[in-house]
Amino acid sequence: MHEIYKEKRDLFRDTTALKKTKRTPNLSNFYTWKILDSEFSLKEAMYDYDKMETLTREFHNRYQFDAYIDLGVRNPIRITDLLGSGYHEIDEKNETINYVDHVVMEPEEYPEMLKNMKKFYWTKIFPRKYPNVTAEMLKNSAMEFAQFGQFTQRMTEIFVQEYHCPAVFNVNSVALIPFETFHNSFRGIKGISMDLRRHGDELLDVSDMMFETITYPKIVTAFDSDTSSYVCDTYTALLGYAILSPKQFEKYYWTYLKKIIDLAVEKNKTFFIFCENTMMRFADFFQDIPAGHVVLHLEDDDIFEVRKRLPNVCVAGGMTTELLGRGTPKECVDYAKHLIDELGDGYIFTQNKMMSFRNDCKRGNLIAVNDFVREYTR
Amino acid sequence: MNDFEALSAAMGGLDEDTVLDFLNQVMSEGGADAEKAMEACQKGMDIVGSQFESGEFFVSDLIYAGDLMTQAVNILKDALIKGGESGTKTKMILCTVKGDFHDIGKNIVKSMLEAEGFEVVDLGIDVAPETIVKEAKGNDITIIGLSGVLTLAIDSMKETVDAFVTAGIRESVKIIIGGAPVNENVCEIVGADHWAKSPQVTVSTCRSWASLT
Repeated sequence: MHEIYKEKRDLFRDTTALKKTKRTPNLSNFYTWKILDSEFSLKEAMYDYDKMETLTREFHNRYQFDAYIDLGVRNPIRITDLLGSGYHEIDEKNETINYVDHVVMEPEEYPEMLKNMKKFYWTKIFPRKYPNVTAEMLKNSAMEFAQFGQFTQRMTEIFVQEYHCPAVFNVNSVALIPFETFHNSFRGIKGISMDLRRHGDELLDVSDMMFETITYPKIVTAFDSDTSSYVCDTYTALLGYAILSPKQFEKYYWTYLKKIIDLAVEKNKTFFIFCENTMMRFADFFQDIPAGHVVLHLEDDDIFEVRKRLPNVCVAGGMTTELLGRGTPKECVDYAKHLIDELGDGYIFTQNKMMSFRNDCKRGNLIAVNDFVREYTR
Repeated sequence: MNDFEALSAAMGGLDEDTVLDFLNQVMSEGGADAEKAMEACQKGMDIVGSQFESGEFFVSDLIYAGDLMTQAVNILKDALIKGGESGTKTKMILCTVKGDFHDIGKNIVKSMLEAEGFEVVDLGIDVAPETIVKEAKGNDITIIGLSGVLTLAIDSMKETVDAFVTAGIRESVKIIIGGAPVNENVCEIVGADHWAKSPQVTVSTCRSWASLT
């Protein structure tokens, strides 16, 4: 392990453990904005791995983060295009990539899914998502998936070996809470909102089954392997939880999240949790977690309030698109200093939003902030 | 005799079966009590709003409430009085701004505004500034609600407000913005009259503006 790599890895790990560190680690939460900051169009970058590699390298050379949540591997459009999906819509004029929501499961189908999930997925979900797929398309998509895997591997190796940046997590250790599958992929926001009241027990039964047979065994295996070279040992993104009340969260979500947290504590591992929207109404659930095992990456929450409320967790986020996109370099640097000074130990500096749109950030502001964070010692 | 307090409570508690049974009963009796039933449902939506403010209910419950209210309107609509003084409603525009395709929040707010008695002209999603101005001018609508979830919505909201300025009618309309990226600072950047993070604030603000017209 290269000395610089080890130093960065330890910086993140020590920060997660709420230890005092020499400086604050700087994590990139940039996604589509990287493409807009480059010479390439959205389509050029999304369909050409060499161009995506070029712009991701340039992004690092220009901004020099310590680690990157995304290395240009989000939205593998080339694979899904071959299945005839059309779910991704690239709008070059408005500079956006949209993912079109599709409902591919009926509310009455929970019992069928519970009975045999694999069969249900391949005979109902998959044909609905890709109604025109042929054996040839499936074969070509599988080959494209292999190419994507090679590209992902290549990008990780570049950043680990050339730039000495630790990968944030191992893709095999990502935890997917069952509720997210229904909210994001199968039932949509409206559908799952109806299901919570009309099919609550069935949703719970299927969630239990999915967690016990898929999610939890995957994390057990991940924790039994060596993930010490990564920024964190397991990762999850809380997205669909954003529509839940505390009572609903307790019933349909927390049971599973807690079990993973408990395992992380037992095995002395770390759990990085991205909290889209706000999580403060669920703060009570997190208050008794032993210190040093959980990172909460916050989007719309007041990070200072979360720090006060939950001194036992490492917090990440804070740097806003408002300042990065519309402020001056001095305003951005002043605020970055304020974040680091106030949040102290156990704080990972990063952006609150998944940086996706042109006005989310100005190049000059990002250079100024990153230069400051790299050198600043409290 | 129909117990409208019980209907309000059922709507407020999102008891779908009780609400629908009650309303179907009203219609099976000829629909004479349709107006009272609608008022009771609207009171129930107020209860939903209060439950949301207290944290008991959240977004999924508002989506469910919106669907339940839509079902209620569909059951009662043939028997509801159309026009006349009690049927005069304040028209307002609601939409998701250009470049943004999210509509869940907008639809929740729409349900609550309609329950409050507004006639909501829903222009949908990804709506260009010119379209909003044209609709407002063409139909003398003076209350505009702009929704957005993505950070790019801030720019679109500003462009929309600027379009009203360019059209020379900014002073005669009231504009409220809402959605995830919205706050006081954004409201200032955009040039809107008010901003809201919750549907209740949107409804109460629009209600106060409507009382001035």
